Amino acid sequence: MGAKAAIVGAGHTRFGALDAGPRALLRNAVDAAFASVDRGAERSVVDEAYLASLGFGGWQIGNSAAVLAEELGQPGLPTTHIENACASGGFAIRAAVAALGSGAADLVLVAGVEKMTDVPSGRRRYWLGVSGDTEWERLAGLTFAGVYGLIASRYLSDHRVGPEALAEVAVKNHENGALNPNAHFRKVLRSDQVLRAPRVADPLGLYDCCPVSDGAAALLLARADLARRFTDTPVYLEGLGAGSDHLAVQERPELTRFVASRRAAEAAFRAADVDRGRISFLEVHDCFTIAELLALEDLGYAAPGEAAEITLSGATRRTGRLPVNPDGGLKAKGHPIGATGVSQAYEVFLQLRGAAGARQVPGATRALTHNVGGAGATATVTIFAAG
Amino acid sequence: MRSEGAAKGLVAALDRAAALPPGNPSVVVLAEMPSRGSLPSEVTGNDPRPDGAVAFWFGEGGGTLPLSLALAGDAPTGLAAAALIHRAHSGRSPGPRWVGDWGPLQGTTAGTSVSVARTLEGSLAAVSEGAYVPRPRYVENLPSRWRFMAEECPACGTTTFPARGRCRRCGGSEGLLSRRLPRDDALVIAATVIGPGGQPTEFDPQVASLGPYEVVLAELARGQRVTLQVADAAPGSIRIGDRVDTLLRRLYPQEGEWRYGRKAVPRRSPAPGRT
Repeated sequence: MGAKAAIVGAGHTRFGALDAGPRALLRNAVDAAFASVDRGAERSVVDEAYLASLGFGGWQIGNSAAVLAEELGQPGLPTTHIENACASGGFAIRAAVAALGSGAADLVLVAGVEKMTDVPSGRRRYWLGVSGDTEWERLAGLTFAGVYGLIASRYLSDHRVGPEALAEVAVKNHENGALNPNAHFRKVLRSDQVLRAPRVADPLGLYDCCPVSDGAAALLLARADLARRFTDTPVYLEGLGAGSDHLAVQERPELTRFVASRRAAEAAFRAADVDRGRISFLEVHDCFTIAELLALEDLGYAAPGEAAEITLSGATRRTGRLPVNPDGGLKAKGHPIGATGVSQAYEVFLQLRGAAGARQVPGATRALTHNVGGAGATATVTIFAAG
Repeated sequence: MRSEGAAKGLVAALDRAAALPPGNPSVVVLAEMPSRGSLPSEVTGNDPRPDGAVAFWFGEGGGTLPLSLALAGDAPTGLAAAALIHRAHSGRSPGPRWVGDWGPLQGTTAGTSVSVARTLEGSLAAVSEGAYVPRPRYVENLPSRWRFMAEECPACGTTTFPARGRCRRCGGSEGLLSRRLPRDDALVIAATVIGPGGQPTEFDPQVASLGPYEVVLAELARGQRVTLQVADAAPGSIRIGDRVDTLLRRLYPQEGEWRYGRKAVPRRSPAPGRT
C-alpha cells in the first residue's frame, strides 16, 4: 500500500526544565519545523493543525489548540486538540494522516507540547496521576510509577530475570541521550547507580523513571504525492496502527503485554507490508525501563521474557543489531507528555535523512515509532521509510 | 506507665468529643506508636464512627511493627486524644513519636503539651483541584469497593468486576445477577512498594506519617482482580504468590470526609489445604 503522507519538515526544542512557557515552546518548535523545509513552505498553506498536549498543570486545559494556531501565526485555521495522555502525539499524527488521506488537507501541522515544571512538585505528582484509572488504581495509592512497578514485579517474577535488565535500558538510553543536544539528561549512568538509586515503585528506582520535562516538537506533514514540492528527501509514513485497552490494569487478563501496542503494531506492519527485519531502528515508549522491555515483545521483536536477554546482549545499543531509542528515549531525552510522540517522529525525520549527527544510525532506511498512553490504555505504532 | 485506664480514658475522651457541637476546627493528629501495647479492641478496631464523631484507626501488625495511630476530629478532640496517648506512654521508652506536618503548638489539655497536625481542610485543598474521584462516583462504586460486588451475566455467564451494569464480554445488561466475590484468601499477582515521591498527592499525609506503603494486584476469584493498598504489614513483606485477606480501611480525606476502601492484610489463618 502506498504511503498517504510524508514528513517534509520537523522542529524540536530542547527538553528539560526550561524557562520558556508553553507558547514560546510551541512557537520555537513550529518555527524550527518551517525552517527545516528544504524548499520552504508558506504558513498560509497549512490547511489544518493538531495540538498534542495533556494540559499538565492546568495552564490551558480547554481549547488549547487555538494557541497553536496563534503561535503558527494563522489564527483562523481549523485546529484541534488531541489528548490521549502520553500517546497524544502519536494520535495527533494519526489524525493528521487521516486529514491528508481524506483529501481534506494538503499540508498539516502537528505540534506537541507540555510545560511540566511550572507547578510545584506536589502538584506535579498530582498531575502525573490524572491519566491512570482514578477510581481503583489511584484510590489504592498508585500513579503511573506504581502501575509500572506492579507490571515490573510481575515481569521479573514470571521470567526469573533480575533488575539488571531494567538497569541496562537506562544505561543504554543515557548513553544515547548524551549524544543528543536536545536531551534533558546528557550524562551517562552506570548500572550500579541505577540499581542503588532510591526506590520510587519497587522494583523501579529513580533512574528507572523518565524525568518530568518541558518541551515541544512539531512536524509538517504533506500529502505523499505532494511531498516533493517541499523537499527531495521526504520521510514517508508507510503504515500506522493504533489500539486501546482497559483503562485499569486490574481489568486486563495479562499484566506484562500491552494489547493496545500489539494491535497497533499488527495494523502498522500490515499497512506498511514490510517485515520486522527491514526496520533499521526503533523509537519506543520507555517512560519506565520496564516499558522498553514490554515494547520489544509487544512489537514482535522478542518472545515473552526474551527482551531482557536481548537488551543485556547489547543488541539494542545504537551500534547493535537493533538500535532502540537512539535519541535517548523518554528516559534520557525527557518526556514532556504531549510532545513525546511528535518528538519520536522528529528523530526518525533526522535519522532517515542522515542528519542525526553523532547519534546517527548508519544506513538507516526505515524506522518504527511506538507511543503509549499511560500504562497501555492507548497506543500508536507508525512505520516510516526514507524517500 | 501505660495502662488500660489511660486507653479507656482515650475512648471516653473521643466519645465526649463526638458530642461537641459541630463547627470546631478539624485537626488530624498522627502519632507513631512503638507497639500495639494494651490498647483495648474498641480503640484498635477499624469501624468508622458515625458522621460527626471521631474516626481513627490503628495498625494491627503485632508488637514488632512500627504502628501508627491517626485521629481526625475537631480540635479539642485531637488535643485530648493526643494528650492521652502522650500520658499513656510517658516515662516509657520508646514513647510515641509525633509525626506529620506539624503546625505551631496550639494548646494543652490535661496538663500535657501536644502538637497539632495541620488542619484537615488544609490537606483537602491540596487534593480537590482538577481530576479526582468525585463523591457521587465514589458512592456509586461502594458496593464493588466495600463488598466486592460483581455482576454475572445470565446470557454468557461472564462475571464483571467492578460492576458497571453491563457485561464485559457480551455487552448484555439484562438480568445481571449480583455476586459477591470472596473478600479473603486473594492471590497476589503483582506487588510494588511506593517510596516517598511515588504517591498521588492525596496520600502525602499518610506517607509523611507512615512512610512507604505497598500496593498489590490481587486475584479475588478466577480472572477477577483488584488493586489494593497493603495494611498491617511491613512494606515489601507481601510478595507475588502470597495470599491476603482484605479489611475495610481509611484511604484518605476528600471533600470533608474520609474515603474508605478495602486494603490487603496478611492472611489471618491459612486456608485448609494451602501451604
